[in-house]
Amino acid sequence: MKNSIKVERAKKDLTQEQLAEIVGVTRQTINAIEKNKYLPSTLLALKMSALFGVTVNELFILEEGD
Amino acid sequence: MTEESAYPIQLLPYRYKKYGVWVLIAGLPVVGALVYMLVKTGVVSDTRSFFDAWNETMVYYPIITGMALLVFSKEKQEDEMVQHLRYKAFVSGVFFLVMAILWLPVFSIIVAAVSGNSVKTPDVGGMLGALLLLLLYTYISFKYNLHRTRKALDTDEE
Repeated sequence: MKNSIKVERAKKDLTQEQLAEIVGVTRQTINAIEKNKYLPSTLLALKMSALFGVTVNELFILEEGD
Repeated sequence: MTEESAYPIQLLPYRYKKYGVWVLIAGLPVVGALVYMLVKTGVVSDTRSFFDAWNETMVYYPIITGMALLVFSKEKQEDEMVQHLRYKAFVSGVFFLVMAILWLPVFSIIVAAVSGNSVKTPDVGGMLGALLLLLLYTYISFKYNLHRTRKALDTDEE
């Protein structure tokens, strides 16, 4: 699974630290999600999609084999 | 949506980590001083048999208490990824424990045979009992919660 969090974050001009604070996690967690090292919970995915104004499907994209 | 529903496992607050470190550092000296006082005041008379009976307890209690406080308290910055990592650590920890204790007699026999000592099985009875309790609790707790959740979802079926 890939995601467009880094792109959406750049559009909103947010740092990882700022995004982490808004959605209530640590900067390391945002970093891990962006690098596909951690898959977030539905709650966190929904929080981020609401913040960026995109759907969860647009934020997280299934790849072949998922 | 509440935080409780997203994070159902309750842990001790972060400050308990510091208590855990203190118990690890000061636990053994405190127990040692306590035993010394008991011996000096004559509460414990036959020290040899006292130490034979209580030696392991005195050493392990402070270490296990300190480690338990470290393990069962939250991190300074606790979030869902930290909880996920803790869950993975618990699963691998229990698996390692099961393997280590089950193989301990075999390993012990091999070492004794190679070193030319008399082969005898180590006393793992207590450890096997504790291991069985841990696995029984884990299995029953998991199955109970699974059953309860499925039952609730069955009645909610639309």
